[in-house]
Amino acid sequence: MIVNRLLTLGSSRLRYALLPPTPPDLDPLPAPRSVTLLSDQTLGHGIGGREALLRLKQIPGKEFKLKKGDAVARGQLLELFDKGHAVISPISGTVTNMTPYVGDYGRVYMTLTIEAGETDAPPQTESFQRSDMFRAAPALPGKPDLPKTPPLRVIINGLGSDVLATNNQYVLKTRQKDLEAGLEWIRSTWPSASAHLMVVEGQQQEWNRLKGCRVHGVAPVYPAASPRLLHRTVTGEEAPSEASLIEAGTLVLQAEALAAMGSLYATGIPPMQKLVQVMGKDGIGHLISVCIGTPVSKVLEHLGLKAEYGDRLILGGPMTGYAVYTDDFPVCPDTDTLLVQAAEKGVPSQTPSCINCGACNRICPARVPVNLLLRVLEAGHYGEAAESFDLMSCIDCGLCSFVCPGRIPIFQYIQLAKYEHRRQVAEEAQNQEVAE
Amino acid sequence: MMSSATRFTVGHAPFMHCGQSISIRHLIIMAAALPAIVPTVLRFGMPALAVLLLAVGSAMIWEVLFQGISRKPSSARDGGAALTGLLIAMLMPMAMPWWAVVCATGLAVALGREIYGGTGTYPFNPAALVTALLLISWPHLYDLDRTFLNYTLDFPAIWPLVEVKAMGAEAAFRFNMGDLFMGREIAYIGTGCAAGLLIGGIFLMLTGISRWEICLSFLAGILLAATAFHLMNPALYAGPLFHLLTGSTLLVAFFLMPEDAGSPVLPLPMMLFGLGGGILVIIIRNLGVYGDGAVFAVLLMNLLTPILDRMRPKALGRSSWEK
Repeated sequence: MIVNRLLTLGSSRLRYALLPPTPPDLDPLPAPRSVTLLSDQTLGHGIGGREALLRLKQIPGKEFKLKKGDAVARGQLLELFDKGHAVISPISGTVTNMTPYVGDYGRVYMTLTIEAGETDAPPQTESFQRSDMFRAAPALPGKPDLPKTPPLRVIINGLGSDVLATNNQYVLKTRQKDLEAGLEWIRSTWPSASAHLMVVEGQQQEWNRLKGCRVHGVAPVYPAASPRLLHRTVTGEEAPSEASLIEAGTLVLQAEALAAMGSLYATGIPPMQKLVQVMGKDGIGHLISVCIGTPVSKVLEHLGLKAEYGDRLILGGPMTGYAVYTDDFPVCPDTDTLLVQAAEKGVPSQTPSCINCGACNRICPARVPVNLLLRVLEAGHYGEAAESFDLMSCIDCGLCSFVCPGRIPIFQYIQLAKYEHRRQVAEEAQNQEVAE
Repeated sequence: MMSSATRFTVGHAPFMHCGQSISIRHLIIMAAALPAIVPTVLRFGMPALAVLLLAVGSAMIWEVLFQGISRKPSSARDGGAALTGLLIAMLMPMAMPWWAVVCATGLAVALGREIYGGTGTYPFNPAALVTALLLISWPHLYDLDRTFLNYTLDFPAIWPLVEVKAMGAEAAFRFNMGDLFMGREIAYIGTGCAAGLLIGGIFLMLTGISRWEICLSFLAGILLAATAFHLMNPALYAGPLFHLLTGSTLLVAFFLMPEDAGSPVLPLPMMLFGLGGGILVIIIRNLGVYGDGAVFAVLLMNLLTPILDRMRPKALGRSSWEK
């Protein structure tokens, strides 16, 4: 709710970064000798990280479909379990290491390290099936999350996922063929779904050439390209906050994801190059194309950027991304932005009492009463927060923390509360099951 | 993975900040009070300045003392007590004895602020709370008529609000609206110069520090209620403009009512909060025993904030307020 701006000089409006009319030349990064892939093994909301981690530590009786020393081919789908999350090997070589890795909020991954080399693995000769798209999708650039049930509408995000990301705009400008192939896949898979392309306001005319796609203009003010707000722009209605967007019939795809799906559909070869907006400590942006799985250190080395002890390495954008502790961390399918932040530029969180200035309430695009919510969250009453103070309406934009004069980590409180609330609900459901 | 020696700092998103901070806010509010204070200090000299400085200084010392006792970190000192001290002084006559000033700031910091946990936590505006306490305890100290005994003034040395209360609405014509606007009247230190308050207030509204919904609806409440009373009995009750320019109306509108901790933050509650405050001020002035009861109106509206806060729009995708 960015309202009441009429009388405000100290405006803190954030705008999405826009590409210049003529897109810059891409800076290609040579294929790495070694890649690390993160295979998501999280078991679902609330079931908790511990069970997932135990499963990865090879409790007796469980065997992975993949072992250390296995030879893999370029483009091969790698899965640990039969119905698990798949990753795609971007290079041919040998799996040299498999270690569990624990991420934020109970997320658990298996890291697969693949060293390039001559292998006797058979090259991928099987032709690509339409249904393979569902298995391959989460490993494609842009990380499309395809639902099992046909959606009513597919919304293609032509803006960024975060303020600095320009990958979607670049894809729109340069990869029309792939986008059309992607739309073709959507039409043939879900014939009843309508397609909507969201572009920067005023540029609608340029995109009318994309067939069978309704074009909507969006003012590039953060967080207008947030999935639930895009849903509202397209349908004029708000999706119920208690349910996922898919349940409301909407699938939101990054433009880069659609292009990757199209490329896979047209050629049968999964594309493994990810567009990443990199910004070093000097504040100059570089748009480069990187192979998924490339360590961050290689990307920085290629661009001549320095990152030292104490700096922050931020993947996924300054508003919603996450900071990692090592530069061995790989570029992931959803890493749209890579940021190096100097130690002194960081925003240290503080925890004074909320002064009730209302800045968070004013800027909240979801009309969440953040000032009241914060008081409940500080007390740890997550259930009450969800029931009476609209915790689950939050769309994770991070603007509340951005404007808080007290530098209270409101966004972190909210993320933790959502995680804990989902965990509590899941545990209660489990107890119910056991009781019955 | 994760074999590299260099370790980076982790943290939670977002990694940017708009730059606003609590102490900057307090400094801006104090700076916005200057246009109202400076003309008074220039006109009446040292006595006014002495009360102001004593109040600000003693409030800061009290804060250090009380935070020392309660073992709070020194980062808790964000200029809040200085601002409270300044506002208390602005609501005082310049003949206030020094012990009363020190007493007032001590009460404000202890009872008004620290007892609840410091900046942001108190339910009542500390400046309004202490002014109300002193007004009840030592009413003679707030008697403006004895303040100006030693001055020779070129405007009526009568307290406008009390004069109107005693003599009826006709007394209002003895005061020139231009004089009232420029601060040529008998008033408390910070409430005299309407022009200065207006400059500071508009600045605060533009920077978004004083929420304009509260300020403007408070003034609307004053105008509405005063007009209604004036129409009911023009001989007894003065008109709206008179009430707007006299007493602490503008100081309360721009500095006390929109004070962060005790006021609501959502659009409709803010409007009701301001409107209710404005109407209460006029009711207290016209029907109560106090000449200017604006601080009581502030406290009463602070009481209502928790209930006003519950009037809020449905959040994104919520079908009902409570499941």
